[in-house]
Amino acid sequence: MGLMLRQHKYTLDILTRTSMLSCKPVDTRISTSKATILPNPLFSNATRFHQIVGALQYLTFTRPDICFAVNKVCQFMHAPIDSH
Amino acid sequence: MKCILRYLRGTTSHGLHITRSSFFALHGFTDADWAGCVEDRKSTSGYLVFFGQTPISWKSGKQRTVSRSSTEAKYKALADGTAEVIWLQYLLTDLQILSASAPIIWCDNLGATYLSANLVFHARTKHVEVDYHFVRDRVAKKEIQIRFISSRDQLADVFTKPLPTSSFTAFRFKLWVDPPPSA
Repeated sequence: MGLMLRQHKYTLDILTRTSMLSCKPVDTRISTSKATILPNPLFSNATRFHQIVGALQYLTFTRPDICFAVNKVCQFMHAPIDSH
Repeated sequence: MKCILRYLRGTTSHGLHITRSSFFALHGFTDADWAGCVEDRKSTSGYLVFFGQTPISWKSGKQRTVSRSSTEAKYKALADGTAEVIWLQYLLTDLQILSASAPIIWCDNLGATYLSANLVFHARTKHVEVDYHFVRDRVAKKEIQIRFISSRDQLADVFTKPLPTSSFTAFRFKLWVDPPPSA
């Protein structure tokens, strides 16, 4: 017994905004292979990347499980590439 | 990022499960992934603080300087975790919640555990920044206790590196992130 603290609607809002509601779910939040570094083209819409990452940060309040992955993408705020 | 969103799609209703507990004490876990970044070889540190059974504070972050040994990296993570635990302890004191013993921080590196008690391995640690040794001060003042824990039971592991699905799911369970009980 106890309380359940969750951000269900917020999560759904993010997924709606990113048109990811109909995507195929995965079991883990980040791939275990190391992210590739340089030879990727820059992500075409950096502002959009910033918006989504910004929104994800507020989700780590109730989701320690995605904390690492969100921090990881935050490290690429200055130069997002397609693979991120 | 797409991976995170796809993961969220599968777990939209998951949330933090807060359970009733009669155990009012802080305990923390700190860990680091040494030289985890392939570009600049900086380490990633993570900590997780529990109040009773419930996780209340956690962080994952890349360290600002390069570490020459895993002990150094874990010691830096320990310093971050210590700062958080001390702050939370002050907060609890202000709220008149007093615990009998000093909070315990679990660290999975023996070297860092020894270092917090006494400055050993001098040749390999003399370059470690002075401010990181504030951990040792706090231990000497008995404000915190540092204990060793095996890597397998180290809950802060999940904040420092990507994990395969099976262990990630096990960690998630221990972090009390659950789907809601089915009606």
